[in-house]
Amino acid sequence: MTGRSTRAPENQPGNASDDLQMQLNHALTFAGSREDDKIRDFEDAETRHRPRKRMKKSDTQSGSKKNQRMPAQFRKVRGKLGLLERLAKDIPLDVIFEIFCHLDPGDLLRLSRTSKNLREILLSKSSQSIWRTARENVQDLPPCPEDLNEPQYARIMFDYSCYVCSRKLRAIDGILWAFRMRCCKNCVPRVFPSYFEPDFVEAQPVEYRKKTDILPSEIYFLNSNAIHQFGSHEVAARLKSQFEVLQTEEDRQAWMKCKSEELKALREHANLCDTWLQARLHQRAFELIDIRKQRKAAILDRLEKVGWREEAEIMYDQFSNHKLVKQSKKLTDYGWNNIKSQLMEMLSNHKTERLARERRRCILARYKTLHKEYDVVLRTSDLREPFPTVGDVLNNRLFHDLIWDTPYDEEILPEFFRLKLLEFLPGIIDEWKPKKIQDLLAIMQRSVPNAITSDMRLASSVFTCSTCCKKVHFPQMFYHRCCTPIRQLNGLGNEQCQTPNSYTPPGPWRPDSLVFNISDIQAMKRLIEACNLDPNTSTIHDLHSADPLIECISCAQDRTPLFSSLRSFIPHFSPLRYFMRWQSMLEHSSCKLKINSFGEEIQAVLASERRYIYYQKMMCCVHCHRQLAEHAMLKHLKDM
Amino acid sequence: MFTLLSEDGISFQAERDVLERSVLLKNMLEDVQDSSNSIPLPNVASAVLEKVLHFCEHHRGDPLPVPEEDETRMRKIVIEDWDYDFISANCDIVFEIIMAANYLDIKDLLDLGCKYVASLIKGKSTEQIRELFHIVNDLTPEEEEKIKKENQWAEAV
Repeated sequence: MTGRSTRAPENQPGNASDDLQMQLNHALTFAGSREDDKIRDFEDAETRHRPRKRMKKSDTQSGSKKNQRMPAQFRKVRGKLGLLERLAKDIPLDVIFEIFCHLDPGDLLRLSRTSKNLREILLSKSSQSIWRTARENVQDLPPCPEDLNEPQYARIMFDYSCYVCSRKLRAIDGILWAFRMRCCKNCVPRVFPSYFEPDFVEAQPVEYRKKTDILPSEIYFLNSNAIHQFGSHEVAARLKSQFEVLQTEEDRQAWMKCKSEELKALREHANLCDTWLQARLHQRAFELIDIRKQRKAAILDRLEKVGWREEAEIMYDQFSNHKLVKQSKKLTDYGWNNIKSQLMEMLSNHKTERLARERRRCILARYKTLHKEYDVVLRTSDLREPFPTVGDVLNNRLFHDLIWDTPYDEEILPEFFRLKLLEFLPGIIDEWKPKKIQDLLAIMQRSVPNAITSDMRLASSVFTCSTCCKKVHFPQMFYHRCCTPIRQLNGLGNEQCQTPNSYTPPGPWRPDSLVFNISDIQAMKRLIEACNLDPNTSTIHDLHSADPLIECISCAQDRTPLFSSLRSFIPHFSPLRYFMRWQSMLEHSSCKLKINSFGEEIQAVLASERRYIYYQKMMCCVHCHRQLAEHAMLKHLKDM
Repeated sequence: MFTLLSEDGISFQAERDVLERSVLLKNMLEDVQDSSNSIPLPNVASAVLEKVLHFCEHHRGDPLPVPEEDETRMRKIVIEDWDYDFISANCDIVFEIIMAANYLDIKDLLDLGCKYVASLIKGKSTEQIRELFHIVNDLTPEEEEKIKKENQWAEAV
């Protein structure tokens, strides 16, 4: 195959094509051999003024190598596609032209920087038509200004980096149109003088030093609060050299008028370019959005064929923002095959998690509804005897099956739960209560082996909660918070505990935290005896009726300053003495106590008892369900 | 049916309307009345010819592209889905396909190849282009720096 195209001549770029072909052959076969003036002229001024000697050296080396090229079959083609070799050697010029003409000037600029050969090709004057076509490919791009060549214009418009330090910039940032460059805010103050700096101003010819329409400047926002106007030494020096060679006043006036018009034209062009860059940014943003939409739609179509579209649509934003979906890249068969399994796995995981979440939400909602209905029933029940907690009801096989086995898309109404509770709660209580009392008895028998069920109702039978250290009598322990730990929902994980304010169903009543201490029993027996009661028959109600008053002799002597339990601080006794009601007595079981033997002092002690505190616990009567403050509740109980 | 003979001696058979996507073959078929003689294509390897015929087969019956009157028109890279999948699936031999399309004068295939290569280059950084086409960077760091700063001060051409 030859290097010339067999295609119809009307598609060929004419003379430029011939020149380029010649340039191409030179560039590759005799790279750098530039004797022929035709092949070099599109370089910028700096490149053009490179020392001739250096050029020759490069030419000689390169030329000798290329002149002794190996046969094609032994030459190594660079790269998978071998672009360099193929573009240069095999592909006809008009085809290269076809390829390059689909690019924009920014692409050409970057292509020209990849290697010496491509630079040779693209920066020759004969490539002007390619650059021009590339520029015209870009919609609404203002024309190339007269003082810039095509690559220079391409650079300022498409290479978003600082000309000084190469730092990346945004497309619309750092452009100094008057100085024909981009510059970052770090470099600007280093490179350019302030436009009003005396040294800079005084260095200019007096005729135009204050004429802002002749001496170019640029306004730069160094930060949000600082706007600076900069001049350029280079531009100023160039203007000055032009001005100083002028001999007559007439010439100088004409020159100033010309420069003023040039600057005006530059500003107008700069405005056009700024507008274009802004529009391009917006357009690009819209294009990217459009590409992403198309990609997402294409992925959804393909997912529909494999049955995963619905899940993807349920995911909504999460799917749209997935790294494989949110790409500004058209979806191809190849691309789809690469992402298919990963997407399906992600959707499958999402579906599993979603169903688990929905299941958990449904189960918890049912638990919550049942709990509310249980509370309604509880408010009308006699709680002087052990009553199953909501956790025990939730644990009941009937309610468990109702909650777990009813299809998740079916709602269970509160009324339904209430009816079931009214129907089945008596039976649940009958089954539950003996078992739990037996559990409690087992705990008693660990300390008192011959204890029997009726013993747990005695005033001396006090249990201690090992979690909170609270002392409880029968049946207080059945309503004690530490005995109903958080329910572990097998199969739902513990996620219900991770959401703030989410409902956490309680577990069934468990006596695991209760202990039955011999020392507490003996202390209670001493107290009961001190009240002239029989410890083997007295119940907690008897002790409440006796309501003994106790003084701790040990604490009164040892503690300075003296403090007391909540209900018995009596500060005006001197020296300070420590009194308490019997409920606090077990906290002082190792102390020396004095019980009910205060003679005439008793009235003074009782009178000084602090009965009211700033806040009072609200209490509920388990018999009549009245809710009262603590002191009112005491009166209520006595009245009963 | 006509028989094409690739440069490595493999025969391919195709119908007239498929082959007529190629201007070169269309002209040849007008001269060759006897379809029993195979048409030698000494510049096209069998692997490439197979792909070319696949493309022509898909586009048989499509109107033939007309030469453009306005060479300065704005060129946008728009590639149909099937074409894109076809060319991207054969990206390893895209240059051979371009050359074969150019030799056989199949304008739409040539356009497709050129657009595809251009689309590969489009929007990529210098380094990405080098990586994509495995171009060896023969510029020294000093030369690279110089190239970057070459237009630091704009002068007229």
